[in-house]
Amino acid sequence: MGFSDVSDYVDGKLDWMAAGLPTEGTNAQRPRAGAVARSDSPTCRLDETLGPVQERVRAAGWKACVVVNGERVVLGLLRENELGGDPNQRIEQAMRPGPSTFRPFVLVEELAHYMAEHDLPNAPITTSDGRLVGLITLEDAARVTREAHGPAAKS
Amino acid sequence: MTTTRRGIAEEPTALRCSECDEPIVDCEFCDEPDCPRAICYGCITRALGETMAQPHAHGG
Repeated sequence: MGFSDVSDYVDGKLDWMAAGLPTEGTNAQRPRAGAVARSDSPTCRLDETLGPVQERVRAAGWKACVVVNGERVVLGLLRENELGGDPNQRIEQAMRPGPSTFRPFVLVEELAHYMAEHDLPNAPITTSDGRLVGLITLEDAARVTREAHGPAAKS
Repeated sequence: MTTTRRGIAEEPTALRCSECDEPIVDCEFCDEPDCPRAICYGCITRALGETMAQPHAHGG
């Protein structure tokens, strides 16, 4: 077919995209969750107590915090409800363990639709091996969706 | 028994997937056990394009 340097990515196309690696084609231009997720969203560790985490999250202007290990693998999530708990509680007792996470290649418009439908203010985006890319907020997802479909959007 | 996104087999509750009507433990999108638009792992991963039908056995 005229290709001289060809590799077979054994883990497949979805794994390639889940790692945030570049893609081509018209579909590649559509906004994806990984590009909109905020990598500076607050994180904490299992062995912390809730009090300092509450202060850190509040100071950063967030209402959620992702619990990660040393390799940024997501272990749990603290949403508004969990963040309002006893400040002396350990994070591992306060968190929602094993939260639903979404891959970076998911279309923002699809995610925004489900986030609005489920009244979910934010959602963790992770690679296929569970490492945190960031939190995507409903506000950001809705804004990017509007911009992509707005009158100025290019087809 | 039903299998969740986290791969855990659990006893199903009265909650059912709003798409396919399968019994589920909690909503696999928002993690809420009382979600009015609860959706199962299979349906949400297909809807978001996280899984797709493989056109060939070799995955090409």
